[in-house]
Amino acid sequence: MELMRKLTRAGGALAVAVATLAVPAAAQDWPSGNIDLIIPSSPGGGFDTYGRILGKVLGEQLGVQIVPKNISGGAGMRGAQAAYNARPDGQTFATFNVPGIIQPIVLGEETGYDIDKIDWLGAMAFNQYIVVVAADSPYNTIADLKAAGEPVSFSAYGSSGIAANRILCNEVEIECQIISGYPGNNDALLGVVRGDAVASVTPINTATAFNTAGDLKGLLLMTDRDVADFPDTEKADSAGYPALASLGLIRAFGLPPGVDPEVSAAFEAAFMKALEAEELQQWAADTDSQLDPMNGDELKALIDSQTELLTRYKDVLAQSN
Amino acid sequence: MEDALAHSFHALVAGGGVFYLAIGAVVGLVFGIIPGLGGPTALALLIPLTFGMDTTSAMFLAGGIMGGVPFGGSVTAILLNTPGTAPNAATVFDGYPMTLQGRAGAALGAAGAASAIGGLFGVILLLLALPIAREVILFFAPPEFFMLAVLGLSAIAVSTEGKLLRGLIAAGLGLMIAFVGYDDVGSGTRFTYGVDYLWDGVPLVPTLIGLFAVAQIVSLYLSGGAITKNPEEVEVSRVGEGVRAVFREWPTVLRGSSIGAAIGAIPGVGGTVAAFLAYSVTVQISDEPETFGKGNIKGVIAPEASNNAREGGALIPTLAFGIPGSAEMAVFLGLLVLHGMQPGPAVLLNHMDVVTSLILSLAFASVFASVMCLLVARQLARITLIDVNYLVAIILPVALVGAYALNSSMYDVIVAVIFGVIGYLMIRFDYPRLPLVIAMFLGSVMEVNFRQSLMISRGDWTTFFSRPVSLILFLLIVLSLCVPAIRYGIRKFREGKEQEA
Amino acid sequence: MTDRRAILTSLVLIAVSAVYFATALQYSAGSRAIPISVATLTILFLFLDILSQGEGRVARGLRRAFGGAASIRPGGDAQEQPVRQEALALAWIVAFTALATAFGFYIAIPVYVISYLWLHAGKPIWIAALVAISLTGALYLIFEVLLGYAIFEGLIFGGYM
Repeated sequence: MELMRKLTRAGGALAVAVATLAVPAAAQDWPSGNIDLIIPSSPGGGFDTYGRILGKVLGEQLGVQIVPKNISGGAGMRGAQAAYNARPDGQTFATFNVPGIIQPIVLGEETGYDIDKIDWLGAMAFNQYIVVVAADSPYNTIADLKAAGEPVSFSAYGSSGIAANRILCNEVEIECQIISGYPGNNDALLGVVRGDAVASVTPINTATAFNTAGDLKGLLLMTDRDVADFPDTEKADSAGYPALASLGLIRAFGLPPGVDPEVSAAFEAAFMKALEAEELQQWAADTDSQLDPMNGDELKALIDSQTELLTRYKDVLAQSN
Repeated sequence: MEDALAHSFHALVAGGGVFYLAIGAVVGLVFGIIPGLGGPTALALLIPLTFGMDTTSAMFLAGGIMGGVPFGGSVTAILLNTPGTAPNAATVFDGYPMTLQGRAGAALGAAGAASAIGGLFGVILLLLALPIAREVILFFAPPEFFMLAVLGLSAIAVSTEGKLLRGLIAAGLGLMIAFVGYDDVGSGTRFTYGVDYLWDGVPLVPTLIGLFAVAQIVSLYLSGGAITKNPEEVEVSRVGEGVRAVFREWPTVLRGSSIGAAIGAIPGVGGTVAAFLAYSVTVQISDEPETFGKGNIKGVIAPEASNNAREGGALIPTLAFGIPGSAEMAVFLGLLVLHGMQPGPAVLLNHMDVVTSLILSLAFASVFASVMCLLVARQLARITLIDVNYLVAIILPVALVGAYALNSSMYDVIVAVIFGVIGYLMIRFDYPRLPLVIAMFLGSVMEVNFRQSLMISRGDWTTFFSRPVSLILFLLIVLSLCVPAIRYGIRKFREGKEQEA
Repeated sequence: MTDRRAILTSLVLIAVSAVYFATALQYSAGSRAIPISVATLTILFLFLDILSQGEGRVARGLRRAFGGAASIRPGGDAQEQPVRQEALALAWIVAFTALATAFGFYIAIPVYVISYLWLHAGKPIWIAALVAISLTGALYLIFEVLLGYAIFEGLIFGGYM
């Protein structure tokens, strides 16, 4: 196994060596041929769907083919490592799973990439969270949950889900018991409907999609935006927990460190233009997919505020369940 | 509902549906045959192609794939002792022995016909179950999932005729492997020994490719010659014999299909266990259990019927709750969303025409794929007559590319090779491989749901026995474990009587 | 296979399970409960397997209980193969994997197929080349052309494992 790691390192070093030998690409030559898009999840998931539709539109606008490469594993870490070590010639870009790639750093684990050095292009969407309970639950507001007088159970999916639930409970000061291990967000919500748990912190779009039959009731929107499907639910700001609005799943895109600044600027401009494309807007409208175009700087600021929140709760996150 | 059916029929016949169905079925067959590539990969890679298609056509394409994959996977299971997709693992029990006896044609015929009928059955069940799907699904919570996983594990007892102890050891090792990686309940990783790659656990499909395909390559290399030692026995007419056997053994088909559809419908357990259960139940209630594993055609019919019926069943939770009942369905969900359908109870109300198209295409695809394959079964069976050197040269690259393609990872290829060595050693030292695979499939389902059950009940153990469905499943487990002992007792008793007489 | 080899196999597996058991001890109560139980049972079964070898009364009794008949002894019918042949078979597989890792599949496949069929199996070189080209071409067609899916290009050419 040690040998494998050495091989990877050797491979990485070799790639870097080849990259340094290559003549740096100038902005006017970009793009020179097909562009690889590293997607940090298996085909079919949310990151894959967003990545592929963007790849298609961007490819059409640039007149080159964008080749999606799925490198899944480790909550997006493996993909991030591959992207970080890719040749910085502007012919490879990647989608990143935020906060999946922040969490291990906050917890002080070895990751093999440095978030500050990634050359951010921007983001397609920022999916914030909502606290939901079953429709027939006696609780109607987050204050009710806080006043329950006994530990409240929350169903959660994945490490990001456990983190979101823990951070909510600590920020609001609810004594909570987290029931983890669900294989997906919808399964965790079904757990709430079934009565496995009282509540769940889940991405807003997941809750909206699940709730076509009105099985769920929103208690707290962890955002400041209006959400059409939960019109009467309290928002983070007015409930007195503004920090919760910086938490969420970001469909972020970036380049490996070391790309020529001119190429990077041209890429960012092309990325932002692709987000405005009619085909993409149409897709978002047809599929109820959230779209929050964000440029590199906005994305960087959001990642920083999220990192700050996660760092504040790093002891809570490090707890084992 | 009738309107929707009529609409779908029209789309199938007049709207080019047949064309997409045929393409889907062919793609499904090819992906099923290549080890490592299966329904999930085929669907995922075709999704981008459906961007510009209307929804009904996309459903015909997807239905074709899902109908074609299971039979494609059975072809290599029967001919090469290598399941093309994970759920076909149960087919190798009796399929490969049949090939060794020169009855490859019959086995393929039986698999094809059983697939077709199983697929139709699953679709009928899906139609009947749609109105009550919601209520049924809500009956299944972690305690029930735990019991189902244990029921699946108890299939090990029958899959190891004569080698129970070695089977149990292999199962124990499989479970130990299943617990490697990210701990879904407790957060943090386990048993990774400093290797990052293991954070996501030991991947199942590369393991399967290693244990079967790569290990088989070593065996073929050592044996030389051809797979079937007596070529004159591979006859064309045998395909028909297999098809006839399916109709003769209709109770087996019905049983396999019911088990497949029912287990497929339960989210969280996955369809793979369905084929094992279908097989083990068939063995348990058979009058001559000792003939299984030695080329009993029923051992091919039951799992194959179950495999195609499973797809129909797995659609129920996928459509009703957006919870995929299998890996294929997880990807299929993405396709639905792409075409503007948010799965959930409302999809059954608002998109009935699309749902019926899908159901129809699944039904037709099962039949279509099977008929097409029966036509080429004779040629396929000839694989067993050619010099194995060609097979060794071709299967190894194809299998390892398959291991790579799933996750674009060379480490997966290395895992496949390592498990190839382990698989060969297991053959060599007489350890059965299937218990290890079953345990790897079910290990984390069992553990996660066990721990979740106790978390939900706040540590109260009686939760496993106080819920009606869970209790019924528990009794089934006890029954399935006792059957071999009871049967043994009866046989002894009879033998005793005969001796007296 | 002799009893001694079977016992040795079991001992190796016991050692592996014991390491696993020891590792599990470090985890929190919830995370270790089931792995520890499984490892313990596996070790127990492995000891029973050792006891069931041989011809003593205990051994025969165990074999009857777990196998239905005392005469069936696991490992009894395993075929003996010359170790050299086995090592060669594995060497081909490892060589192909190493080649694919270094140079990518599209180079490794033809090299492996031609050298295996020509050098090992003694087929005419033109047949070997034909098989190699058809196989590589078919895979290229399926993946690169039809699916737009890039398969491994080799560490040398900047591939990421």
